[in-house]
Amino acid sequence: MAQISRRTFLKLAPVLPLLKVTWPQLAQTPEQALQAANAPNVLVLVFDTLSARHVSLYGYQRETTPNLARFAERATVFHNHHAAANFTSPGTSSILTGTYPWSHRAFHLHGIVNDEYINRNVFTALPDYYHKIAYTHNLLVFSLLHQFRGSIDQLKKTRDLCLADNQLADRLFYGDYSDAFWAEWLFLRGGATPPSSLFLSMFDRLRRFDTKRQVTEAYGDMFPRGIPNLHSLFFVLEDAIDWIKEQVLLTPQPFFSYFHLLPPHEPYTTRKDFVDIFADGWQPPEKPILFGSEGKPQRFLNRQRREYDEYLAYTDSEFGRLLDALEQSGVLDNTYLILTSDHGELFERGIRGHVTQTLYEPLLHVPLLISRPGQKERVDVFERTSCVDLLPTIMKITGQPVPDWTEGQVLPTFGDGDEERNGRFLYALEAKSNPKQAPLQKATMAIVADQYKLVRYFGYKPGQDLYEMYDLQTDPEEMNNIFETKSAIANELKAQLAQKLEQVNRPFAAT
Amino acid sequence: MAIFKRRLPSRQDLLYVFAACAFPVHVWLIINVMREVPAWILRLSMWDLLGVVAYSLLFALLETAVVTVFFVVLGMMLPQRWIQGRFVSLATLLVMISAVWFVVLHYNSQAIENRQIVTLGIWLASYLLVMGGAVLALYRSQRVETAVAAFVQRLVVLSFFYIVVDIFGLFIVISRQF
Repeated sequence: MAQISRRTFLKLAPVLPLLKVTWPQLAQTPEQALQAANAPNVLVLVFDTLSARHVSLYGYQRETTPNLARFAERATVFHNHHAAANFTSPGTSSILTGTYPWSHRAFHLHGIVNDEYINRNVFTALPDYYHKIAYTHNLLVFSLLHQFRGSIDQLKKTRDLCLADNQLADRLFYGDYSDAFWAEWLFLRGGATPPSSLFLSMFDRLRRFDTKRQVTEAYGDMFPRGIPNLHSLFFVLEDAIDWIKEQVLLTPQPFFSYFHLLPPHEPYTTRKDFVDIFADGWQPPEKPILFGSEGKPQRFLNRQRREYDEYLAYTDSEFGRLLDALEQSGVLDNTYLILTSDHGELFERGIRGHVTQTLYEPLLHVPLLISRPGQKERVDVFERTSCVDLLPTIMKITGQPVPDWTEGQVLPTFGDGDEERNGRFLYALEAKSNPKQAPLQKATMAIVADQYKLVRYFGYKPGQDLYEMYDLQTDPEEMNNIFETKSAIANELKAQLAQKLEQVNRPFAAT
Repeated sequence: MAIFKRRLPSRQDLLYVFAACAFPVHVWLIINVMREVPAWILRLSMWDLLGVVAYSLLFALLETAVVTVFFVVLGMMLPQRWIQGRFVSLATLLVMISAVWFVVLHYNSQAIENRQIVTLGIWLASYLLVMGGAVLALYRSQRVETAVAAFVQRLVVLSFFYIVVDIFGLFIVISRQF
């Protein structure tokens, strides 16, 4: 074998990075090359905490999303799409793995999926000829993407598109990011307790004050309610949108991209031109309280709702800017654009936000719009669907077999039409208080079948399970708990839920 | 370079100061980590739990080193006659008083968030006053100096136990990188 001299190696060294990009193409068989040439791009855009109940496209009374409505005219609009959980870690894990939280087990704050899902997710399921690229503002999502990094060609770090960066874990301990991040967080910022650093945390606090002062000086006029941020990372959505616009043009095709952007997640710091656009005095109806109220006054909730709506309108305008760019560049002619969210947000029953043990519709009902390559007409789908259906659908549209480990099924209008949908049950789970590797004994579970939704709260008070049931068709606002009055249906759903619980707890009984 | 060497505390003094700094840093860390552990058990495997604790210990070791370096630099900047023979006692006294006042500040962190100038002013004034008084007592009373020196000598064993645990944490952190 001919030896390469040092001189020759040095000459060739600059082209080595190119090999990283071209290797999948070079390593393909002719059949794979043909598949790759015909494969569509897939662009998944997740806006964190985007409740369909606040989207004007779905009938919300405030005009929050004109650009989403514009996109809907060339997309398939799913009207009854549900998240599998009420906050980021489990909701996103369900999107990425096509499984419910009881399977992937990422149901805690900053949770990560069980090891087997490192090889069971949308990035690993798609063939190597797809160039896989991902970005998120949300560090909880970054922990998940970091778990899947072995299958992602380009995982951009969160701080790369942030205005100021106060993180150390991803610099010093990238290989062990999740635990290092958590330790750093508790050391410098604290959790339920004060920071575990006695002295340095105070200086870190001063540093963060200074950072905040600097970004406020630079962007304060543009964002009078504060600069968008989470976990002390400040950002403006415009930067991420501009970056995505660039990436869809520069990324080798076919690509699969997953962009998870934080707005309209709290703090609801909308841009100047959207401040007070919904100062309409609207008072949403007060709703009955069964469980989990934080006792927030309705007036406070209404004000927060308005600020959320205004932040959502800003988010929508930035999506509109991206949509314009995608349309003008022609990218959408060979790209599936999927827009959805990981969970919703709640401003009722004394609860604000999504850190709650409840599973009301504003938390679970999320938008889903999918435009096919070159689609020009709107298609409306009213069947109930779940976020676990996204992975099978992505596999289907890219011509890949649907993995047998997914708990979802191909979405209506994207399958062969022979999927069994009648009598299908959808689920959601909230189990922050339950140990990760233990049977579910303290949790909230929801089951949706046809128009009925049954919710069971169990383990919070020993021996006192609570149930509520709503007819989502006649009572979409979940005002009337019909658990007692519709006892036949309630008992049927209750039995189904018990059976599911027994099934998902079975692996733990065996051990 | 010679003046730098002359002003540097002896190795033994350095170890005593390091031990004095390690004590409050680690006690505070252990109290808070122990309070968080029940929540971590819910979501972490034993290996990950060990990992988070190991990172915390490593950070505490770094914090101890930073605080020690601060006192060494302070000792080098102050007039030599002020600290001659009193470096360990002085540093121990300052770090212990600071620890108490920082704990108070941690439990009143809303004052910082909300910029409550009066509360912060009271905190700072009392901190400086107590520190000034303690330093004065140290210089004027041989008994105080002896008591502080005896205290730090008793701390050494416990503090070095912490440091051994920190080093164990360091090994865990290193092993987790692969």
